[in-house]
Amino acid sequence: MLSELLTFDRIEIGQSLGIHESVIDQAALDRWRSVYGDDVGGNTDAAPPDMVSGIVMAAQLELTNPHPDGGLHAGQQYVLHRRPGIGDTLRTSSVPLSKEVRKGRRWVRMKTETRDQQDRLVYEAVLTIIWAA
Amino acid sequence: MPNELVPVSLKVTQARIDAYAEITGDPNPIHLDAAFAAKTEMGGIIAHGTLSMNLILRAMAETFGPDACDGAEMDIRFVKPVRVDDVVTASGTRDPETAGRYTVQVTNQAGEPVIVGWVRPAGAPA
Repeated sequence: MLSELLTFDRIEIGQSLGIHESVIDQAALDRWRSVYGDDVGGNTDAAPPDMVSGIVMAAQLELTNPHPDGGLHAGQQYVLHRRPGIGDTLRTSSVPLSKEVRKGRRWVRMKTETRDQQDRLVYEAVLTIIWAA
Repeated sequence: MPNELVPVSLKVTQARIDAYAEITGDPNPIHLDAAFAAKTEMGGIIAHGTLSMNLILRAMAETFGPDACDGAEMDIRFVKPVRVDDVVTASGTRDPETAGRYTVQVTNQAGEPVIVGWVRPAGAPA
């Protein structure tokens, strides 16, 4: 968690926001399935492919916390390298790639990278966000 | 490769939005607080965009199996807000101009696109 509110003006391009760590456990998979139902192809100990955003967004939001309320996501790019499973510890880093004011809106692009406990790439993402303030 | 992805639908209830906010640690009041949301440019509560986006990956998994998602790519834009109790459907069509890609969209119950973009399943030609 950051010490001060992460406003648009305080975002530093290229400056890492840190690393968020999370563990995949049965409870996490159960929570996900409570929203979407059973995994496509049947439930296993692996996180379903669609859980990528749940993992990346949780990390991204924590790494940018606190930030102004009311922001919006404009677009996202993902590469899914491998599905994590129960017992895996994931470390997600986030770095601001760019920011600009366009048509009165504050546009920010963030690059995230998620690796497992063996330092294998799990997910890569670029998140385009309209920053609230 | 099939010409179409298997469509996947979901009703975006407030209960699902609340649960998704808990999972992602996203307490943004634009998703949860009707009074706050009403004062924003959205004019009311909207669902997390990724709540609907995830259906695209489920459609890809339905079509090719979950293994085809290990190594897959996705690039999307959120083009219209999803409201409480909207029914959204993810679908996709093989892109005739870009090998291995599917043009994808998520539409609401009125057929309006809320998300547009593309995916490339793993193993598809680049």
